[in-house]
This record gives sequence, C-alpha cells and structure tokens, in this order.
Amino acid sequence: MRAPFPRWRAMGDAALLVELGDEIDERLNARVHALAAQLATAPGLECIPGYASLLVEFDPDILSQEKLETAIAHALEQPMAAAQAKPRVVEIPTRYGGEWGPDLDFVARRNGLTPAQVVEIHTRCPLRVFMLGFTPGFPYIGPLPAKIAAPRLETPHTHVPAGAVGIAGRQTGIYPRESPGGWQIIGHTDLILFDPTRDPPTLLAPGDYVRFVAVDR
Amino acid sequence: MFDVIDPGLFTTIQDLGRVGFQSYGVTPGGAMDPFALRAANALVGNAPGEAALEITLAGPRLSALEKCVIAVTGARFALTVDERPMPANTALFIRASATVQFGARQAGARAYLALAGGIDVPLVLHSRATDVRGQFGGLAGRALQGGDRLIPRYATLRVERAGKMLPARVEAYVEQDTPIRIIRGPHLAYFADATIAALEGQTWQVSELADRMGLRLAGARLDRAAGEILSCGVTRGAIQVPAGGQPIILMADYQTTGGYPIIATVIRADLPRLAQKTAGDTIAFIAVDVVHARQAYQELEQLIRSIS
Repeated sequence: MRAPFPRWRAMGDAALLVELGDEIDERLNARVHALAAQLATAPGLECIPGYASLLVEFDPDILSQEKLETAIAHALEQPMAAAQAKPRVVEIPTRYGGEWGPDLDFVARRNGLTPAQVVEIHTRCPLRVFMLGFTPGFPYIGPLPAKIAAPRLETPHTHVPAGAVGIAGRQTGIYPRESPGGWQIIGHTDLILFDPTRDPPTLLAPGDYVRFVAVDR
Repeated sequence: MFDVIDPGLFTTIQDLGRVGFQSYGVTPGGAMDPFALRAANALVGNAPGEAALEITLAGPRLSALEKCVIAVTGARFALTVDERPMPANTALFIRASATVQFGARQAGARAYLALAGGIDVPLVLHSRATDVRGQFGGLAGRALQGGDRLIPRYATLRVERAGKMLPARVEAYVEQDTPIRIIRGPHLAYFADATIAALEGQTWQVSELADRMGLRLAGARLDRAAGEILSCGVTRGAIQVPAGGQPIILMADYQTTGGYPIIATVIRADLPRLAQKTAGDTIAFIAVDVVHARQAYQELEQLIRSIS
C-alpha cells in the first residue's frame, strides 16, 4: 500500500526522493522549489527538483538520514512563503511551422485546429518552467491547454536541431542542443538555452515563466 | 607531460565530476570508477580530485616529453614502459622520451592513469571532467586524439613516490564477482513482489548498449505496472525499468531526471565494481539495508585513506 503524500523514500544510501504529489500542478511544483530553498542551508546537500518531487542527495557522514528527514518534515510543516516577487517571464521568439516546425500540421490536425490556432494558443499565456532535465538546460514547461496537447512521436526524430520547440502531452520544451528527440517539433528559437562558460549556465531556471512569441521566419 | 601517439579506444580526461549543477540538467559525470581515480592520485601524491585519464577497453600509447611520475589503477592491462613490463597500482618514475604503452586488457573495463601534478585543462562548471555528449570539459569536450598533448597542471616531481604500491586487497575488487548490493526502491509500488524477487534471483548480462550513461542489462523481462512516473530527479546507481522490462543501471553520465520507475539503487560502495563491467559480463544483485550500505562505503573510504 502506498503512503499518502508527502512521503520520502531512499534512492540508494545517499539520496532521498521526497514526493509531494503525482500530478503536473503549478502550486505543487512551487512547493517543491520552496522546499529546495528551505533546505539550501543544510550542509552537503544537492537537490534536484522534479514536477512534484525533490531528490535530495546527501552525505550521511555530514548529515544523517534521520536529521535530514526531520529537517524535511519540519520544512513541509511551514506554510509556503507568501508568493515571492513576481517571477521572471522570459520571452522566447519562435519561428513556427514550415521547415522549423515539421510536426505543427500534425498537432493541428489531431486537435481539429488550424496551425495558426495552435500557434495562437501556444503563445497566448506565460507558461511555467517546472524543472530542467534530460540534457543541460532542457526546460519542461507547461501546462499547455489540452486543446494543443499531442503524444510523443512513435518514431523519434533522429536529429532535432538546437533551439527546436516541441510538445509532448501537455508539456512544451526547447532542445538546447542537437539530439534525437521524441517530441512534436512545432517551431524553433535562436536563443541559447545552455552555455557552460556562463554562470548560471542555463537561460531558464525552474520556477521561471516563459512566453513564446511568434516571429517571422 | 605527454604526447598522445595513439589515444586508445575511448580515453577521456576525468576527475570527480561536477557538483551542484544537477538542477540545471547537468550530469555530475566524472570518473566511472572514482575509487580507482582517487587511488591513482593518491599513489602519485596528487589531491584526490585531480584530473586524470580514464582509459576504456583498449589503452593509449604515450610519449613522455619530460621525466614524471605516473600510476595506473583500475582495470588490468599489460603495461609497458619502453617495452618493459611495468606493474599497475604502483607509482612509476618515467624518464623523458620514454614510451608508455597499454597492451592487452586482462581484467576489468576502465583503467586510470594519474600524472603527478594533474592534467592542465580549463575548469568548466568547476570541474575538468569531460562531458562528451555536451561537448564540454576535459580536453575540448572530446576523447583524446593522436597528437594531443597532456600538460601537468602544476610542476612537481615526486621521485620519492616512485615504487609506492596499493595494498593487494585494494586491487582485488576489479575482479570481485560477488553480487552487487542494492537498496530496494524507491518506486516499489510499480513492481510486484515476484518482480523484485526476479531482479535479485537471476544473473543479468551487461548488453552491448552499455556506456558512461548507463549499463543496459539483458535477462528475463521484469514486469511492472504500466505507465511512467512523473519525471523526477535520479541518482547514480539507480536501476530504471523501461516498458521493455530490461533494466538500466544509471552510471556516471546519467541524465539527471527520468520517467522510468526505479526498482532499486546500487549502493555507493559497489559503483566502482560496476564501472569495471563491460558487454558480456554478468551481474547478480542482492538487497541490503542502508546501514550496511553506509558501513561498506566507510570501509572503502578507509581503504583510500590508507594509501598515502
């Protein structure tokens, strides 16, 4: 039987997976990032935020699992800090469709929309960066309105270019570098998502918001 | 200082990896076998995290441009200097213009060559480890090529280290074939008891699809509840089970987040042994508790500290 949320379980002998829920939800995700911030003063930790979870890597010789669990339980008992100063909204100039968005027509057809309508919905509102992962700087952004959701490709693209903007389910994301990819590619941005010579090395951070902006090809 | 005459199959500069950037999606990376890297550094008198060479399956041919001290640990190769056999796990004095050659591989998969004074390449995100997929870090973000030059980070000649050896019990782990110890979970709800028993009850083979990102295992299919987990942070040693039912053990260059349920996680103390496995090798698992796991790690730490 599964324990209710919040719950935590060991991932090996030096990491704890703290699960706050099991859905893609902005408030839940905000709680994840707030927990990471609360743990920032504890020694020897590295936290990796997920949609609704936080992986806490720790050094048992610096901080015992027991003390860490106590700190987590205590942090979660605190009411979440009042909404911080307005989060950043980063504009993402995007060329949609054509050679830059080979899957835009499919996403439109699947949802009974025109490509222009898909673009309008994709660019309508600021969307939250829930987490980064998969590759350095890759943002998991959403939630998209269900009207433009689309499943991953059955056969992934072998080469998705750096800057490709994609959709998978109700998530949207941007590929920081060329790689194979299973997301529906609807557009492209020239923005650099990851530069290891800079500090911080990524354009976007978890908790940021983005606004896609359609630009001419 | 060395010129690379022949780089070997896949030789990269590695250290103990990048700490603190996983929330940006940057894998910690670093040595697949951090124990061997630290042991090699200890033998030559370097700090534990100095950059060294990670040598995979077929090793390089190097020409020394000046006298220096090196040590080779981890996988066992027929090592020669100017065509004379030399021992591994020993600090070696190398004279100028000598040729260091890795011959046939005898045990394990990955060896480490530490140079007294470390290797001078720029820090990228606080580490000299090579991120080959990301094409950054190490030497221009790539494996070594013929014609590369390896320059020590600082000038030193630790002649007094020459002859320093690892205790025999330290070398033994490379060939140790006892089951790999795991902590069950965290996504146990996705797996029936019978499946957990199946993970631990069979011998798995390391498939051809094994690399620095992960060891894919071949064996009887592991059944699990359908669907994926919400993407969450993962850690080295986590054993993911994709829909196909063939587990993957995450290794040094793991993707920092994942959507496959994790049935168990290899304990830290057994990660070095896993790094010495290659395609065709077999692995069995045994579950232990976190107390045992941490004690095993402590013992490993003691072993490293005893080399000085």
